[in-house]
Amino acid sequence: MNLLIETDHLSKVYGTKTAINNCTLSLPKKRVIGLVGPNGAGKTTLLNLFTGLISPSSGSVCVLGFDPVRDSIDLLPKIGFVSQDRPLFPSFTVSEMLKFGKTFNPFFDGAYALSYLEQLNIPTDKKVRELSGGMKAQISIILAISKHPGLLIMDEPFSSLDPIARNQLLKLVSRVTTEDESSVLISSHDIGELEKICDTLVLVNLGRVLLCGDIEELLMIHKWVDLSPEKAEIASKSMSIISVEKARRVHRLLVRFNRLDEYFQLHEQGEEANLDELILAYLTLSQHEVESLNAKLSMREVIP
Amino acid sequence: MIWFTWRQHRIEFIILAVVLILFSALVVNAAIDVRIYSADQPIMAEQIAKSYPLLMVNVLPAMMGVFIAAPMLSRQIENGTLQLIFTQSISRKRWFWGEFGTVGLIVIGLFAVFAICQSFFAHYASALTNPWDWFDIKGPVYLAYAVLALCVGALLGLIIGKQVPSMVASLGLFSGLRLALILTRSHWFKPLTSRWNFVGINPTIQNTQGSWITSTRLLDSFGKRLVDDTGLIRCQMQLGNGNTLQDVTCQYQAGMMLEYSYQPIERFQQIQIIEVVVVLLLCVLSVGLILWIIEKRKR
Repeated sequence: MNLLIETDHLSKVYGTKTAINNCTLSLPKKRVIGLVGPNGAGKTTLLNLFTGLISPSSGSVCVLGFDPVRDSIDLLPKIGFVSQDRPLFPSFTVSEMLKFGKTFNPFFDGAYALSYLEQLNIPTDKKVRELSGGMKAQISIILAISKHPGLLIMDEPFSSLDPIARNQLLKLVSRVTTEDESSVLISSHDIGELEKICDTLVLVNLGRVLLCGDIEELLMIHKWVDLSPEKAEIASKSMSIISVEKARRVHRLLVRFNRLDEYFQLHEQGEEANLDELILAYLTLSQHEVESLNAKLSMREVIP
Repeated sequence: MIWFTWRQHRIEFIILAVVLILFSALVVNAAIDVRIYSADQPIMAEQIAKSYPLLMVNVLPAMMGVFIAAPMLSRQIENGTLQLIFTQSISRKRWFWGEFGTVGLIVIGLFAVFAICQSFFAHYASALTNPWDWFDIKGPVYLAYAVLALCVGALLGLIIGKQVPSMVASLGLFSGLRLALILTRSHWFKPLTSRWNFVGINPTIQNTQGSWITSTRLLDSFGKRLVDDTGLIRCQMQLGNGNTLQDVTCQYQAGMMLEYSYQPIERFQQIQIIEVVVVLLLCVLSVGLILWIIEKRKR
């Protein structure tokens, strides 16, 4: 129960299309986790697997110690889920949406939900269809957090929100994590927004998890290193090279240090990769296994 | 859960209740008229009975399937609210039984009232006309078809997941099933047969009073089936050119017979029970499929 989410060789196949391919990851509790990837990367499929909306084709997934499909009755009260479309009943008033929350969730905190609605100036007597997109998103999130979930999952919560609504949403997420000590898992392709609130990053593309870890640690162990072609050859034997920008005399490598001593050895030569560059580099390489590409780079490109 | 279902479908429920209560009142009024007139003005009573809008009342369950049952799940799939429900702290089966059960109880309750009123009317109308004319509205069969429309509509709504196509498909499938069951109705029991050789009063008609004559066939003197016109022509040819005999006399002289196949009135209730059981089995099958699909959506 120390882990928030644990997957083991998790795969999801739709017909001939592999949406999630052999994904193994462990995510700690009480974190704000960003699930990053371009459209079609498999983020929504992964979140649907975590909530038990779909079941895996192979492998296993464990959320808060429960199997989302088999133990859905035990798990669902502990999860707050805000899907990408943020569906609400358009003909219901806001207060009726809260009544819906109470009807379907035994631990739904109506007073807590009302206090949030008041703070955000959302009128409770208005019908959902009469509200703005930002307000609808806020109601969806309020419905989810009023369950006091151990895990709040939000699928692309920033999409189609204006900057003011985004800021309000970010504040709301921050409050949830501090007040309720909930874990939050947010998917987005907007790295800039996630960087502000996330402390853990999961990078997915083409159904594969390319990167998973603490953001600060990830930034620390990924460096831009300028090396001569000869030194690049030596470096390639002990380090994972994510990308190479070749110039005539200098090769600029984006390097992942596997050990901290490697990092300290080359620390002075490198400058930290920023998150955007790091993610971009991974996504560029995502069609291949990072390790096999690393080998390919070592053999064909770095060695003169 | 009852509140939630009522809140979602209240407009449809109110419209259905208004329509069925209005129809029930009209049917009861017509039944009282038939009862009153049948004592001293039987022709008037028969006219009232024959003016009963059978087609319209038989379309009502189909309309309920189209406008209530089919959108019940398809609208939620289309709006994405089914996903919202599936991530709340409730099992899918419990949600389904809560929603479908509430819709079912309200709809079946309303149709039950209407079915009772129709049976009341059919009871008096049966005394004036052939009771089999009222088969679809007398007894439990009408209510069974309403339940079938509900189940078929809900099933197609879930499978198709879009409101308008599921409404059209619901109408098509329900009408198809109903037509198929109407066509098979006369075959649940082997029909009895009776023959008349064109002498005197047709005893078959007397014997089969209140029966459902499923077919009438003209037979030659050897008991072989003839098409009516061919039989008459053959009869005239046998008797020679230019005869002016009436058909019946001609056919009698040619040794022809009329064979009636019929279901006697005693089988009315038995056939009703069989049809109700078949319809309810289709309902159980539909609900089973719905539950299976709801669980399968995880896969």
